Amino acid sequence: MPKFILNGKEVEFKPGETILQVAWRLGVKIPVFCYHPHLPVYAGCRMCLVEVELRGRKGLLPSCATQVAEGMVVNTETDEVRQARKSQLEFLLLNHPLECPTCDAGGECDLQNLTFFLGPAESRYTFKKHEKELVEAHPYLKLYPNRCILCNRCVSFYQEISANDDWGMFGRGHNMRVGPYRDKILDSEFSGNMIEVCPLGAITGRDYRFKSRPWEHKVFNSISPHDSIGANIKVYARVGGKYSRGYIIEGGVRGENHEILRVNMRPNYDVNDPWIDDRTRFIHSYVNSSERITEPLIKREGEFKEVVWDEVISHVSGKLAEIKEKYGSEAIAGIAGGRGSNESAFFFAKLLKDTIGTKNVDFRIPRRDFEQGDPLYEVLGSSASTAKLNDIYNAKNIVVFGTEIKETHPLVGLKLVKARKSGARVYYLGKWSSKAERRWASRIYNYNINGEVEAALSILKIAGLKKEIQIEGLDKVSLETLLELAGLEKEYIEELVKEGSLFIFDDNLPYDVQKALSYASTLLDGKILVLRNAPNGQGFIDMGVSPVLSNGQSLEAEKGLSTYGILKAAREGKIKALLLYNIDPIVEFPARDEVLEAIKSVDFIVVFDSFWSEVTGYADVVMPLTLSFEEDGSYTNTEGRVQWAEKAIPVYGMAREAWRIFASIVGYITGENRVNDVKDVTEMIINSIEPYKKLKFPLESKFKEPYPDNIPSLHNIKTVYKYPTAEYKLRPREVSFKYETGEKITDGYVLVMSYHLYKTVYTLRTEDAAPLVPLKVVEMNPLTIRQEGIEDEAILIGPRNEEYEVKVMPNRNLPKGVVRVFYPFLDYDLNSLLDYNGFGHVRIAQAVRR
Amino acid sequence: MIGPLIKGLSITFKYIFKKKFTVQYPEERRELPPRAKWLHILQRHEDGTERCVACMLCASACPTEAIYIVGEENDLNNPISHGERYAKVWDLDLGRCMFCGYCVEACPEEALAMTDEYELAVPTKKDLVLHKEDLLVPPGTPPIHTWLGFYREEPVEASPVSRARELHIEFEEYLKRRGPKEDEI
Repeated sequence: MPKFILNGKEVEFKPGETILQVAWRLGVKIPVFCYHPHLPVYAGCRMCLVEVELRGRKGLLPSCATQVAEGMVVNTETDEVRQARKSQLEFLLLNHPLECPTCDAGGECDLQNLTFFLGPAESRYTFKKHEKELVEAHPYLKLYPNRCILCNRCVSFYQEISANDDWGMFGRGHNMRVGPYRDKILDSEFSGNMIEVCPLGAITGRDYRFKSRPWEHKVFNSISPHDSIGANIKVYARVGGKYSRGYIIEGGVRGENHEILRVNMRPNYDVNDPWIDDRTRFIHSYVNSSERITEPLIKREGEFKEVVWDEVISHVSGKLAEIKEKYGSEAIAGIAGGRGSNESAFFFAKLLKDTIGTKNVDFRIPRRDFEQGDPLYEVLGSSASTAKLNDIYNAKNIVVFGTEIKETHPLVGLKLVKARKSGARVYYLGKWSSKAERRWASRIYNYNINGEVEAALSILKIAGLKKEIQIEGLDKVSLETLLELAGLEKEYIEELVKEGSLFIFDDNLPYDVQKALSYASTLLDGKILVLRNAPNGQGFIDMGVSPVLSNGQSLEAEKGLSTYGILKAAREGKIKALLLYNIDPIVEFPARDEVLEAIKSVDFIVVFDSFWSEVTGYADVVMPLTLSFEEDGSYTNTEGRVQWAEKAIPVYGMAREAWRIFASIVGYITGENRVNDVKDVTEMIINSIEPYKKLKFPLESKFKEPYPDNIPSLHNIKTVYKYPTAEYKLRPREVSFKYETGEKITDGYVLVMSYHLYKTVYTLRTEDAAPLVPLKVVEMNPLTIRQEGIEDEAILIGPRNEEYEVKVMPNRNLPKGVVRVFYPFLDYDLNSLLDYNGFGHVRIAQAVRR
Repeated sequence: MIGPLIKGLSITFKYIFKKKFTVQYPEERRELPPRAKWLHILQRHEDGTERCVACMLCASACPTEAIYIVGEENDLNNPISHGERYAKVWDLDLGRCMFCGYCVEACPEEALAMTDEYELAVPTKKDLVLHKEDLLVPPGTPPIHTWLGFYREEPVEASPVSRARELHIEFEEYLKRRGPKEDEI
């Protein structure tokens, strides 16, 4: 290896390394402001100047941008270097206001720390400081341009990493400033990362502003509860007793100052890199929502009565045993929301499948075609993605099918940006496409609103033609019919069907789509990445919360009812007891009327949930659950990585962990010993679930990267976390399709269910999200809005002349005949217009102004 | 036997005619030195707003963790303090406080001061926790200066113009001191 001389010692280096990298690796401290290990080098702050001597020439060079060459003599601590740093620091402080007491970053500020270590104690600058106006660029962000030292970190993140363009650096010299273009509100789901990237307090976040100081809180390692990417986060919580900082009160009820102050990223280069999305970062105050259930309740004579835990558990256990004896175990069913931990899912499946003996348990949405089984299992013999998240970086050809990634799994978007920048071809096929897709897609094709299945089948058909393989069931349909129904051209599909493609799609898509794309990937020697819509969807499948699979990759002997089947059987009066775990079918499923009818015709409904919602009114027993920040537990993300989340704050009211409740019921019915420790449950999972058998407990492992200690903004990056993945076994099978042509909707407007980043069951429970939640909003093409003469508010009229008052927002990306509505339906009951596939028919009229 | 008795009584008689140390406490009070460190107060600006900006330096300087603060953003139309934030909660647990005065030293806004109010006994432990309302002085109270010359008393307001003017005045004074030179006449 080549060598150079650093501070008088001969040191080895790898070609291409910069002086800073070598020096930091060896523990030599060099101060920086603008350098960030995960951003492009800017070399603008000049704090990292070092003395470099090469071939007789000597000078000060920025070490972050200078590559090491053989024979270099580098000195980091000469008088000249020290003087240069000191002067540079004085320069940076010229216009920096001395408002550290009120500044949010006080205590974790690079400028404060480095001034303390190296800087001049007094400024020689006696003129008036430059003053710039405060900018509110985003409901969650505030920019203080006075404090900014123009290090360019936020701009590089925003423009290079998230590939957005409405934040930049303007002006020259003294008037240079960072900020949004023309003071407009940022259109980004990653803007919160700029807070963390900023070396000082120039950008502050709304949730943490002025609340606390960094030395006041305790940090807990957790996992994002919002999506199935499972972004690693640090939860900063004030947990101490009122007059003592630092002590944690174990157990007990949450006091008024047990609060989550903020959420920051935790680096894990397998999952989220050092970035997280805004929803994960800013939406956490729902843990203190006033809509939370505090006590276990039993309905007696039409009214809820507060009872103690032992009573409610004996009541439920007795009732379930009674129903099982009277009607058989098939009369009991369970629907889950896919939001809990693996431990809870494990005991939910154990309770229903082993103890009660029913297979009617599911967590997927009630699509009729999901009755046929698990689409991935049908093709691959395993229900997991074959690709890991980081395979996005390695793939040459990526096809994103039918998923609005920005709305459901925003972090995948960042990975796609990086993949495209490193040369991959990224194709997007969707009902419509927005600016978010244009950031990373090299080609965008929109298929017909109803043509989802046909589009996927034509991909499979062309893949089959390329490989000269006859696909059973598909040989009867010609490619031309498929393409016509999908509304796509043959060249488009031929272009994107390539050897070794990576297919990315979500698990709410029709059964045939998921099956076709998985099959296409096996034909092309490619991979699939399924994005689960439930935050712990993969974990729930693996734990056996599925009517067909017992542990993610082995089939149940007898098939149970899927969500659709359960609801249908309930309407027919076959289901006598229904356990709803973390889900409200009335507001979270389409086809509200049918779901409501099903709920009403069940005799005994037990709701396990954290929040009051509509279904709790029909429940016979309600049990309060903890949220993910209030319990320890493991979560499996969409690629099969099993990650551990710590408990950050005490539980709310009398709430209990779900696994504890299910384990108590199991214990009550069977007489087994109750499990009292979550770690015992995790060990049970590791011992009994096939893909998890190679995991080792505890799940967490971390290692430290060398960065100098006195740079607070890089403090979080120092420790990198790694979690193991479950090992799924792939057994590709022969596949056949039963293809039926779907009906096409030609007249009126089509109501399409879709997702929104800030409209989830969590964001609707907190006021923090209020400025961004589309409350009572539907979206339409602006041309259609003008044609209909609608201003702002409108009335949607269903087929039976029922009326719904909504706000209409223009969205240029939507096709003309489409009305886009957002899941979940807590604010409007538009889901009664939708069928089980998420489509509906609607007429529209201008609302009469009062 | 007489000897020791006289010796002992001589001390008694010596002190009879000296000035008495004993203070009849509840009726009579001793004057405390000007820098006595007893009960804390939270001071106000001359315009009546609070000096405290909830920087939490006192809480972190406190060795006994007796201070608890929660900050809140100021309403810009009706600000409570001069900074961007103010202390929504400012609690002091006198049961923990050992009157070391570190908090006063740490305060960058001269908001916190200690007074000679030393009658702090209360019937219950709960009453030992003093809240912001108990500690805030009424508007118009004369300020207690706690900065001991570590910081600038007033912000330096100097513009290029005034600096030049200063130089000019200095130069004129110099000319006056020196008197007219021969060749200038």
